Amino acid sequence: MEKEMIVNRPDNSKMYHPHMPTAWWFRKWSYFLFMLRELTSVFIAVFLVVYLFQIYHITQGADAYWEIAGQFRSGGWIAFHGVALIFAIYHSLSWFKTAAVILTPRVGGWMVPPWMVVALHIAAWLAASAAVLMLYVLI
Amino acid sequence: MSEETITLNVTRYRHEKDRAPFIQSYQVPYREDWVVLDALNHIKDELDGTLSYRWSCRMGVCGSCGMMVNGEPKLTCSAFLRDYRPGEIRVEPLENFPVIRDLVIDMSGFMDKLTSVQPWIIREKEKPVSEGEYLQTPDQLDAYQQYSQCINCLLCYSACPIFGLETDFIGPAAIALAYRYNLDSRDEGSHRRNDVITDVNGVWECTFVGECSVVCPKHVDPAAAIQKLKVETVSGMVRGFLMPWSRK
Amino acid sequence: MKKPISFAPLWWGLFAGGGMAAAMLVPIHIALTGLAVPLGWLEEPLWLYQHWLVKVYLAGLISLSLFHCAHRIYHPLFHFAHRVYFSLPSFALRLIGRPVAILVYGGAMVGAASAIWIMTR
Repeated sequence: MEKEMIVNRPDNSKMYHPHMPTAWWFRKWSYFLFMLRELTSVFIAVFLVVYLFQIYHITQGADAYWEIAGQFRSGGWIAFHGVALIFAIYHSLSWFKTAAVILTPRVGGWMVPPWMVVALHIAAWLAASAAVLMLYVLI
Repeated sequence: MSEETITLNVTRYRHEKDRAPFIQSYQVPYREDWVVLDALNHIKDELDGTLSYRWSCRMGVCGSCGMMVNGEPKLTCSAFLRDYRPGEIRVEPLENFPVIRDLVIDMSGFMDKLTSVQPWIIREKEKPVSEGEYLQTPDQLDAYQQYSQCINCLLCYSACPIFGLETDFIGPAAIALAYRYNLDSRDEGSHRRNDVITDVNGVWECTFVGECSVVCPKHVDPAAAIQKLKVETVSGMVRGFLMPWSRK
Repeated sequence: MKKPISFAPLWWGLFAGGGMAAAMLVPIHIALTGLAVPLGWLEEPLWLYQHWLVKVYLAGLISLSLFHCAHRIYHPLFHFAHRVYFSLPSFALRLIGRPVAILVYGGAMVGAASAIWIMTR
Protein backbone atom coordinates (compact mmCIF):
# COMPACT_ATOMS: atom_id res chain seq x y z
CA MET A 1 0.00 0.00 0.00
CA GLU A 2 1.31 3.41 -0.95
CA LYS A 3 1.25 5.90 1.87
CA GLU A 4 0.75 9.54 1.05
CA MET A 5 3.72 11.55 2.29
CA ILE A 6 2.61 14.57 4.25
CA VAL A 7 4.46 17.69 3.14
CA ASN A 8 3.69 20.97 4.77
CA ARG A 9 2.90 23.09 1.74
CA PRO A 10 3.30 26.86 1.84
CA ASP A 11 0.67 28.92 0.02
CA ASN A 12 1.72 29.09 -3.62
CA SER A 13 0.07 32.47 -4.21
CA LYS A 14 2.09 34.10 -1.45
CA MET A 15 5.43 33.03 -2.91
CA TYR A 16 7.62 34.92 -5.30
CA HIS A 17 8.24 32.89 -8.47
CA PRO A 18 11.49 33.85 -10.18
CA HIS A 19 11.88 33.61 -13.96
CA MET A 20 14.98 32.44 -15.71
CA PRO A 21 16.25 35.16 -18.08
CA THR A 22 16.43 34.20 -21.76
CA ALA A 23 20.13 35.09 -21.84
CA TRP A 24 20.95 32.87 -18.87
CA TRP A 25 24.03 31.45 -20.54
CA PHE A 26 25.79 34.82 -20.25
CA ARG A 27 25.54 34.80 -16.48
CA LYS A 28 28.29 32.31 -15.82
CA TRP A 29 31.42 31.39 -17.72
CA SER A 30 30.63 27.68 -17.34
CA TYR A 31 27.13 28.18 -18.79
CA PHE A 32 28.64 30.06 -21.72
CA LEU A 33 31.14 27.25 -22.39
CA PHE A 34 28.24 24.78 -22.27
CA MET A 35 26.29 26.78 -24.86
CA LEU A 36 29.41 27.03 -27.01
CA ARG A 37 29.76 23.23 -26.79
CA GLU A 38 26.17 22.81 -27.98
CA LEU A 39 26.75 25.37 -30.73
CA THR A 40 29.65 23.34 -32.16
CA SER A 41 27.05 20.91 -33.45
CA VAL A 42 25.58 23.57 -35.76
CA PHE A 43 28.95 23.98 -37.51
CA ILE A 44 29.50 20.23 -37.62
CA ALA A 45 26.02 19.69 -39.09
CA VAL A 46 26.59 22.30 -41.82
CA PHE A 47 29.95 20.71 -42.66
CA LEU A 48 28.37 17.24 -42.87
CA VAL A 49 25.70 18.48 -45.30
CA VAL A 50 28.31 20.27 -47.42
CA TYR A 51 30.51 17.15 -47.41
CA LEU A 52 27.53 15.02 -48.41
CA PHE A 53 26.90 17.45 -51.28
CA GLN A 54 30.52 16.98 -52.42
CA ILE A 55 30.36 13.20 -52.06
CA TYR A 56 27.19 13.18 -54.18
CA HIS A 57 29.06 14.91 -56.99
CA ILE A 58 32.12 12.68 -56.59
CA THR A 59 29.94 9.59 -57.04
CA GLN A 60 28.50 11.26 -60.19
CA GLY A 61 31.99 11.19 -61.72
CA ALA A 62 35.15 13.31 -61.65
CA ASP A 63 33.71 15.95 -64.02
CA ALA A 64 30.74 16.58 -61.79
CA TYR A 65 33.11 16.96 -58.82
CA TRP A 66 35.42 19.46 -60.58
CA GLU A 67 32.40 21.54 -61.51
CA ILE A 68 31.56 22.22 -57.86
CA ALA A 69 35.03 21.88 -56.28
CA GLY A 70 36.10 25.37 -57.33
CA GLN A 71 33.58 27.25 -55.22
CA PHE A 72 35.04 25.83 -52.00
CA ARG A 73 38.29 27.73 -52.71
CA SER A 74 36.53 31.03 -52.00
CA GLY A 75 37.53 32.97 -48.89
CA GLY A 76 34.10 32.56 -47.36
CA TRP A 77 34.20 28.76 -47.47
CA ILE A 78 37.82 28.62 -46.27
CA ALA A 79 36.86 30.87 -43.34
CA PHE A 80 33.81 28.74 -42.56
CA HIS A 81 35.85 25.54 -42.57
CA GLY A 82 38.53 27.19 -40.43
CA VAL A 83 35.95 28.15 -37.81
CA ALA A 84 34.26 24.75 -38.13
CA LEU A 85 37.60 23.03 -37.52
CA ILE A 86 38.18 25.03 -34.32
CA PHE A 87 34.65 24.21 -33.13
CA ALA A 88 35.08 20.53 -34.06
CA ILE A 89 38.31 20.29 -32.08
CA TYR A 90 36.57 21.94 -29.11
CA HIS A 91 33.76 19.41 -29.49
CA SER A 92 36.25 16.51 -29.52
CA LEU A 93 38.09 17.67 -26.40
CA SER A 94 34.88 18.39 -24.47
CA TRP A 95 33.49 15.03 -25.58
CA PHE A 96 36.53 13.15 -24.29
CA LYS A 97 36.24 15.01 -20.99
CA THR A 98 32.57 13.94 -20.85
CA ALA A 99 33.47 10.35 -21.70
CA ALA A 100 35.84 10.25 -18.74
CA VAL A 101 32.91 11.01 -16.42
CA ILE A 102 30.79 8.19 -17.85
CA LEU A 103 33.44 5.56 -18.49
CA THR A 104 35.17 4.68 -15.23
CA PRO A 105 36.79 1.33 -16.03
CA ARG A 106 38.29 -0.83 -13.33
CA VAL A 107 41.30 -3.05 -13.89
CA GLY A 108 41.17 -5.56 -11.07
CA GLY A 109 40.49 -3.44 -8.01
CA TRP A 110 42.19 -0.35 -9.47
CA MET A 111 40.07 2.43 -10.95
CA VAL A 112 41.62 3.96 -14.06
CA PRO A 113 41.95 7.71 -13.27
CA PRO A 114 39.85 10.09 -15.45
CA TRP A 115 42.90 11.86 -16.90
CA MET A 116 44.09 8.54 -18.25
CA VAL A 117 40.69 7.87 -19.86
CA VAL A 118 40.93 11.30 -21.54
CA ALA A 119 44.52 10.56 -22.62
CA LEU A 120 43.49 7.20 -24.14
CA HIS A 121 40.68 8.90 -26.08
CA ILE A 122 43.06 11.58 -27.36
CA ALA A 123 45.53 8.87 -28.44
CA ALA A 124 42.74 7.04 -30.32
CA TRP A 125 41.64 10.36 -31.86
CA LEU A 126 45.15 11.13 -33.14
CA ALA A 127 45.53 7.58 -34.49
CA ALA A 128 42.17 7.75 -36.32
CA SER A 129 43.03 11.18 -37.76
CA ALA A 130 46.43 9.91 -38.91
CA ALA A 131 44.78 6.92 -40.59
CA VAL A 132 42.41 9.15 -42.59
CA LEU A 133 45.28 11.50 -43.48
CA MET A 134 47.28 8.52 -44.79
CA LEU A 135 44.51 7.78 -47.30
CA TYR A 136 44.98 11.27 -48.75
CA VAL A 137 48.78 11.32 -48.64
CA LEU A 138 49.76 7.80 -49.66
CA ILE A 139 47.07 6.79 -52.11
CA MET B 1 39.88 52.84 16.71
CA SER B 2 36.83 52.17 14.62
CA GLU B 3 35.99 48.56 13.99
CA GLU B 4 36.30 47.18 10.45
CA THR B 5 32.93 46.38 8.85
CA ILE B 6 31.72 44.61 5.73
CA THR B 7 28.54 45.28 3.73
CA LEU B 8 25.98 42.53 3.21
CA ASN B 9 23.40 43.18 0.48
CA VAL B 10 20.60 40.84 1.41
CA THR B 11 17.51 40.02 -0.65
CA ARG B 12 14.28 40.73 1.23
CA TYR B 13 10.80 39.57 0.28
CA ARG B 14 7.74 39.78 2.49
CA HIS B 15 4.65 38.72 0.58
CA GLU B 16 2.33 40.85 2.71
CA LYS B 17 4.23 44.05 1.86
CA ASP B 18 6.39 43.50 -1.22
CA ARG B 19 5.33 42.77 -4.78
CA ALA B 20 8.88 41.71 -5.66
CA PRO B 21 12.12 41.06 -3.78
CA PHE B 22 14.40 44.01 -3.09
CA ILE B 23 17.89 44.43 -1.66
CA GLN B 24 18.57 45.67 1.85
CA SER B 25 22.12 46.58 2.93
CA TYR B 26 23.52 45.87 6.37
CA GLN B 27 26.86 46.90 7.89
CA VAL B 28 28.24 43.96 9.80
CA PRO B 29 31.44 43.82 11.85
CA TYR B 30 34.20 42.01 10.00
CA ARG B 31 35.76 39.05 11.81
CA GLU B 32 38.51 36.89 10.39
CA ASP B 33 36.77 33.68 11.46
CA TRP B 34 33.19 34.61 10.54
CA VAL B 35 31.23 32.93 7.79
CA VAL B 36 28.29 34.51 5.94
CA LEU B 37 25.91 32.67 8.26
CA ASP B 38 27.56 34.32 11.30
CA ALA B 39 26.99 37.70 9.65
CA LEU B 40 23.33 36.85 9.01
CA ASN B 41 22.94 35.76 12.65
CA HIS B 42 24.49 39.08 13.72
CA ILE B 43 21.91 40.93 11.60
CA LYS B 44 19.07 38.88 13.07
CA ASP B 45 20.25 39.31 16.68
CA GLU B 46 21.52 42.89 16.65
CA LEU B 47 20.24 44.81 13.64
CA ASP B 48 17.00 43.51 12.18
CA GLY B 49 15.01 40.71 13.78
CA THR B 50 12.63 40.49 10.83
CA LEU B 51 15.17 38.83 8.50
CA SER B 52 14.21 35.22 7.72
CA TYR B 53 16.55 32.42 6.64
CA ARG B 54 17.11 28.73 7.35
CA TRP B 55 20.02 27.32 9.28
CA SER B 56 20.79 24.68 11.83
CA CYS B 57 24.09 22.87 12.34
CA ARG B 58 26.67 25.51 11.29
CA MET B 59 29.06 22.75 10.20
CA GLY B 60 28.10 21.65 6.70
CA VAL B 61 26.09 18.62 7.75
CA CYS B 62 22.42 19.62 7.86
CA GLY B 63 22.20 21.26 4.43
CA SER B 64 19.71 23.95 5.39
CA CYS B 65 21.75 27.17 4.98
CA GLY B 66 22.24 27.06 1.19
CA MET B 67 22.00 30.52 -0.42
CA MET B 68 23.42 32.43 -3.36
CA VAL B 69 26.58 34.21 -2.20
CA ASN B 70 27.79 36.66 -4.85
CA GLY B 71 25.83 34.69 -7.44
CA GLU B 72 27.21 31.26 -6.52
CA PRO B 73 25.20 28.63 -4.64
CA LYS B 74 26.99 28.08 -1.32
CA LEU B 75 26.44 26.69 2.15
CA THR B 76 26.64 29.99 4.06
CA CYS B 77 28.14 28.14 7.04
CA SER B 78 31.25 27.43 5.01
CA ALA B 79 31.52 30.69 3.04
CA PHE B 80 34.05 32.84 4.91
CA LEU B 81 33.72 36.63 4.92
CA ARG B 82 37.50 36.87 4.44
CA ASP B 83 37.23 35.30 0.99
CA TYR B 84 35.00 38.15 -0.19
CA ARG B 85 36.77 41.07 1.49
CA PRO B 86 37.19 43.95 0.69
CA GLY B 87 34.16 43.83 -1.63
CA GLU B 88 30.53 43.76 -0.59
CA ILE B 89 28.70 40.45 -0.27
CA ARG B 90 25.43 39.77 -2.05
CA VAL B 91 23.23 37.20 -0.31
CA GLU B 92 20.19 35.91 -2.23
CA PRO B 93 17.83 32.97 -1.88
CA LEU B 94 18.81 29.86 -3.84
CA GLU B 95 18.06 30.37 -7.53
CA ASN B 96 15.39 28.46 -9.49
CA PHE B 97 13.10 28.03 -6.45
CA PRO B 98 9.98 29.94 -5.39
CA VAL B 99 10.72 32.29 -2.50
CA ILE B 100 8.54 32.04 0.59
CA ARG B 101 10.16 34.87 2.53
CA ASP B 102 13.51 36.72 2.36
CA LEU B 103 16.09 33.94 1.98
CA VAL B 104 13.70 31.03 2.57
CA ILE B 105 12.87 28.97 -0.51
CA ASP B 106 10.05 26.49 -1.07
CA MET B 107 11.49 22.98 -1.21
CA SER B 108 8.23 21.02 -1.25
CA GLY B 109 8.65 20.34 -5.00
CA PHE B 110 11.97 18.69 -4.25
CA MET B 111 10.46 16.68 -1.38
CA ASP B 112 7.84 15.28 -3.80
CA LYS B 113 10.54 14.32 -6.31
CA LEU B 114 12.69 12.74 -3.63
CA THR B 115 9.79 10.55 -2.45
CA SER B 116 8.91 9.62 -6.03
CA VAL B 117 12.33 8.00 -6.61
CA GLN B 118 11.99 5.82 -3.47
CA PRO B 119 15.43 6.46 -1.97
CA TRP B 120 15.45 3.61 0.51
CA ILE B 121 16.37 -0.07 0.40
CA ILE B 122 13.68 -2.11 -1.34
CA ARG B 123 13.57 -5.89 -0.88
CA GLU B 124 11.38 -8.28 -2.84
CA LYS B 125 10.85 -10.04 0.46
CA GLU B 126 12.23 -8.89 3.80
CA LYS B 127 14.07 -11.63 5.64
CA PRO B 128 13.12 -12.12 9.29
CA VAL B 129 15.33 -10.49 11.95
CA SER B 130 16.33 -13.93 13.20
CA GLU B 131 18.26 -14.49 9.95
CA GLY B 132 20.53 -11.58 10.79
CA GLU B 133 21.56 -8.38 9.02
CA TYR B 134 22.26 -7.85 5.31
CA LEU B 135 26.03 -8.05 5.07
CA GLN B 136 28.13 -5.95 2.74
CA THR B 137 31.81 -6.07 1.79
CA PRO B 138 33.97 -2.90 1.78
CA ASP B 139 33.98 -3.05 -2.05
CA GLN B 140 30.18 -3.16 -2.14
CA LEU B 141 30.08 -0.17 0.19
CA ASP B 142 32.60 1.63 -1.98
CA ALA B 143 30.33 1.28 -5.02
CA TYR B 144 27.73 3.74 -3.70
CA GLN B 145 29.35 5.57 -0.78
CA GLN B 146 30.17 8.73 -2.70
CA TYR B 147 26.51 9.16 -3.69
CA SER B 148 25.29 8.62 -0.14
CA GLN B 149 26.98 11.81 1.08
CA CYS B 150 24.14 14.02 -0.21
CA ILE B 151 22.68 16.35 2.44
CA ASN B 152 19.76 17.63 0.30
CA CYS B 153 21.07 21.20 0.44
CA LEU B 154 19.74 21.89 -3.09
CA LEU B 155 22.83 23.79 -4.25
CA CYS B 156 22.88 21.48 -7.31
CA TYR B 157 19.31 22.44 -8.27
CA SER B 158 20.28 26.08 -7.99
CA ALA B 159 23.26 25.56 -10.29
CA CYS B 160 21.25 23.58 -12.88
CA PRO B 161 19.89 25.74 -15.72
CA ILE B 162 17.81 22.81 -16.97
CA PHE B 163 15.93 22.70 -13.67
CA GLY B 164 15.52 26.48 -13.91
CA LEU B 165 13.91 26.04 -17.33
CA GLU B 166 12.04 22.78 -16.67
CA THR B 167 10.92 22.74 -13.05
CA ASP B 168 9.42 19.26 -13.53
CA PHE B 169 12.93 17.82 -14.06
CA ILE B 170 13.54 15.38 -11.19
CA GLY B 171 16.97 16.91 -10.94
CA PRO B 172 20.50 16.12 -9.74
CA ALA B 173 20.19 15.27 -6.02
CA ALA B 174 17.08 13.06 -6.29
CA ILE B 175 18.54 11.12 -9.24
CA ALA B 176 21.93 10.76 -7.53
CA LEU B 177 20.19 9.39 -4.42
CA ALA B 178 18.09 7.00 -6.51
CA TYR B 179 21.29 5.81 -8.18
CA ARG B 180 22.90 5.39 -4.74
CA TYR B 181 20.21 2.81 -3.83
CA ASN B 182 20.43 1.17 -7.27
CA LEU B 183 24.11 0.57 -6.59
CA ASP B 184 23.51 -0.84 -3.11
CA SER B 185 24.15 -4.61 -3.02
CA ARG B 186 21.34 -5.04 -0.47
CA ASP B 187 18.76 -3.42 -2.73
CA GLU B 188 16.35 -5.12 -5.17
CA GLY B 189 14.31 -2.12 -6.30
CA SER B 190 16.24 -0.54 -9.20
CA HIS B 191 13.54 -1.33 -11.76
CA ARG B 192 10.99 0.54 -9.64
CA ARG B 193 13.24 3.58 -9.34
CA ASN B 194 14.26 3.45 -13.00
CA ASP B 195 10.60 3.60 -14.03
CA VAL B 196 10.61 7.12 -12.57
CA ILE B 197 14.12 8.43 -13.22
CA THR B 198 14.35 7.23 -16.83
CA ASP B 199 10.87 8.56 -17.64
CA VAL B 200 10.09 11.90 -19.35
CA ASN B 201 11.09 14.15 -16.45
CA GLY B 202 14.11 12.04 -15.60
CA VAL B 203 17.65 11.70 -16.85
CA TRP B 204 16.88 12.58 -20.51
CA GLU B 205 16.16 16.19 -19.55
CA CYS B 206 19.79 16.59 -18.51
CA THR B 207 22.15 18.01 -21.15
CA PHE B 208 25.22 17.64 -18.96
CA VAL B 209 26.05 21.22 -18.11
CA GLY B 210 27.92 19.62 -15.20
CA GLU B 211 27.56 22.51 -12.73
CA CYS B 212 25.66 20.35 -10.19
CA SER B 213 28.82 18.39 -9.49
CA VAL B 214 30.95 21.55 -9.39
CA VAL B 215 28.90 23.24 -6.65
CA CYS B 216 28.23 20.12 -4.52
CA PRO B 217 29.75 20.74 -1.06
CA LYS B 218 29.88 16.98 -0.45
CA HIS B 219 31.52 15.97 -3.77
CA VAL B 220 28.61 13.73 -4.70
CA ASP B 221 28.91 14.11 -8.52
CA PRO B 222 25.23 13.90 -9.54
CA ALA B 223 26.21 14.60 -13.18
CA ALA B 224 28.10 11.31 -13.32
CA ALA B 225 25.13 9.44 -11.80
CA ILE B 226 22.78 10.86 -14.45
CA GLN B 227 25.08 10.11 -17.42
CA LYS B 228 25.78 6.58 -16.15
CA LEU B 229 22.04 5.98 -15.82
CA LYS B 230 21.56 7.07 -19.43
CA VAL B 231 24.23 4.65 -20.62
CA GLU B 232 22.82 1.82 -18.49
CA THR B 233 19.31 2.42 -19.84
CA VAL B 234 20.44 2.49 -23.46
CA SER B 235 22.64 -0.59 -23.12
CA GLY B 236 19.79 -2.38 -21.33
CA MET B 237 17.48 -1.48 -24.20
CA VAL B 238 19.97 -2.68 -26.82
CA ARG B 239 20.51 -5.92 -24.90
CA GLY B 240 16.74 -6.44 -24.68
CA PHE B 241 16.48 -5.87 -28.43
CA LEU B 242 19.34 -8.17 -29.42
CA MET B 243 18.62 -10.83 -26.81
CA PRO B 244 14.87 -10.67 -26.07
CA TRP B 245 15.12 -13.72 -23.83
CA SER B 246 17.26 -11.71 -21.36
CA ARG B 247 14.39 -9.25 -20.84
CA LYS B 248 12.63 -9.55 -17.55
CA MET C 1 -1.31 -1.02 -17.79
CA LYS C 2 1.79 -0.92 -19.96
CA LYS C 3 3.41 2.45 -20.37
CA PRO C 4 3.86 3.85 -23.90
CA ILE C 5 7.33 3.17 -25.24
CA SER C 6 9.64 6.14 -24.80
CA PHE C 7 11.99 6.95 -27.67
CA ALA C 8 14.25 9.04 -25.45
CA PRO C 9 16.83 6.24 -24.92
CA LEU C 10 16.93 5.58 -28.68
CA TRP C 11 17.63 9.26 -29.48
CA TRP C 12 20.17 9.44 -26.70
CA GLY C 13 21.91 6.27 -27.88
CA LEU C 14 22.20 7.69 -31.41
CA PHE C 15 23.36 11.00 -29.90
CA ALA C 16 26.09 9.33 -27.85
CA GLY C 17 27.28 7.09 -30.68
CA GLY C 18 27.27 10.05 -33.06
CA GLY C 19 29.11 12.18 -30.53
CA MET C 20 31.92 9.68 -30.29
CA ALA C 21 32.10 9.21 -34.08
CA ALA C 22 32.09 12.99 -34.65
CA ALA C 23 34.68 13.60 -31.93
CA MET C 24 37.05 11.01 -33.33
CA LEU C 25 36.71 11.67 -37.06
CA VAL C 26 35.04 14.97 -38.01
CA PRO C 27 38.00 17.33 -37.29
CA ILE C 28 40.33 15.51 -39.69
CA HIS C 29 37.67 15.49 -42.44
CA ILE C 30 37.09 19.24 -42.02
CA ALA C 31 40.85 19.83 -42.13
CA LEU C 32 41.24 17.74 -45.29
CA THR C 33 38.10 18.36 -47.36
CA GLY C 34 37.41 21.89 -46.10
CA LEU C 35 40.94 23.30 -45.93
CA ALA C 36 43.78 21.14 -47.30
CA VAL C 37 42.06 20.27 -50.60
CA PRO C 38 40.69 23.75 -51.46
CA LEU C 39 44.05 25.32 -50.51
CA GLY C 40 45.77 22.92 -52.93
CA TRP C 41 47.92 21.12 -50.35
CA LEU C 42 46.36 17.74 -51.05
CA GLU C 43 44.01 16.21 -53.57
CA GLU C 44 40.71 14.49 -52.95
CA PRO C 45 41.34 10.75 -53.64
CA LEU C 46 38.25 10.54 -55.88
CA TRP C 47 38.43 6.86 -56.84
CA LEU C 48 38.55 5.88 -53.17
CA TYR C 49 34.93 7.02 -52.84
CA GLN C 50 33.89 4.16 -55.15
CA HIS C 51 35.07 1.53 -52.66
CA TRP C 52 32.20 -0.05 -50.75
CA LEU C 53 34.12 0.02 -47.47
CA VAL C 54 34.63 3.79 -47.74
CA LYS C 55 30.95 4.20 -48.63
CA VAL C 56 29.82 2.27 -45.58
CA TYR C 57 32.23 4.25 -43.40
CA LEU C 58 31.09 7.65 -44.70
CA ALA C 59 27.39 6.81 -44.61
CA GLY C 60 27.77 5.62 -41.04
CA LEU C 61 29.85 8.58 -39.91
CA ILE C 62 27.61 11.20 -41.53
CA SER C 63 24.27 9.74 -40.38
CA LEU C 64 25.38 9.08 -36.80
CA SER C 65 26.97 12.52 -36.49
CA LEU C 66 23.82 14.16 -37.84
CA PHE C 67 21.77 12.51 -35.07
CA HIS C 68 24.29 13.81 -32.57
CA CYS C 69 23.91 17.35 -33.92
CA ALA C 70 20.11 17.11 -34.00
CA HIS C 71 20.02 16.19 -30.31
CA ARG C 72 22.29 19.09 -29.37
CA ILE C 73 20.32 21.56 -31.47
CA TYR C 74 16.96 20.32 -30.16
CA HIS C 75 17.49 21.10 -26.48
CA PRO C 76 18.47 24.80 -26.70
CA LEU C 77 15.82 25.32 -29.38
CA PHE C 78 13.14 23.76 -27.22
CA HIS C 79 14.25 25.81 -24.23
CA PHE C 80 14.17 28.92 -26.36
CA ALA C 81 10.60 28.10 -27.41
CA HIS C 82 9.89 27.57 -23.73
CA ARG C 83 11.22 31.07 -22.94
CA VAL C 84 9.23 32.78 -25.64
CA TYR C 85 5.99 31.10 -24.63
CA PHE C 86 6.72 31.14 -20.92
CA SER C 87 3.20 32.02 -19.88
CA LEU C 88 1.71 28.94 -21.57
CA PRO C 89 0.76 25.95 -19.39
CA SER C 90 2.86 22.81 -19.56
CA PHE C 91 0.56 20.82 -21.89
CA ALA C 92 0.93 23.61 -24.47
CA LEU C 93 4.71 23.47 -24.06
CA ARG C 94 4.66 19.79 -24.90
CA LEU C 95 2.76 20.68 -28.06
CA ILE C 96 5.52 23.15 -28.97
CA GLY C 97 8.19 20.58 -28.18
CA ARG C 98 6.69 18.10 -30.64
CA PRO C 99 7.14 20.16 -33.88
CA VAL C 100 10.62 21.26 -32.79
CA ALA C 101 11.53 17.60 -32.28
CA ILE C 102 10.00 16.56 -35.61
CA LEU C 103 11.86 19.37 -37.38
CA VAL C 104 15.25 18.62 -35.84
CA TYR C 105 15.25 14.81 -35.61
CA GLY C 106 13.35 14.63 -38.90
CA GLY C 107 16.09 16.72 -40.49
CA ALA C 108 18.69 14.28 -39.20
CA MET C 109 16.68 11.35 -40.55
CA VAL C 110 16.41 12.97 -43.99
CA GLY C 111 20.17 13.62 -43.90
CA ALA C 112 20.93 10.05 -42.87
CA ALA C 113 18.59 8.65 -45.52
CA SER C 114 20.17 10.76 -48.27
CA ALA C 115 23.65 9.71 -47.09
CA ILE C 116 22.65 6.07 -47.41
CA TRP C 117 20.94 6.73 -50.75
CA ILE C 118 24.00 8.48 -52.18
CA MET C 119 26.31 5.71 -51.04
CA THR C 120 24.19 2.82 -52.31
CA ARG C 121 23.47 4.11 -55.80
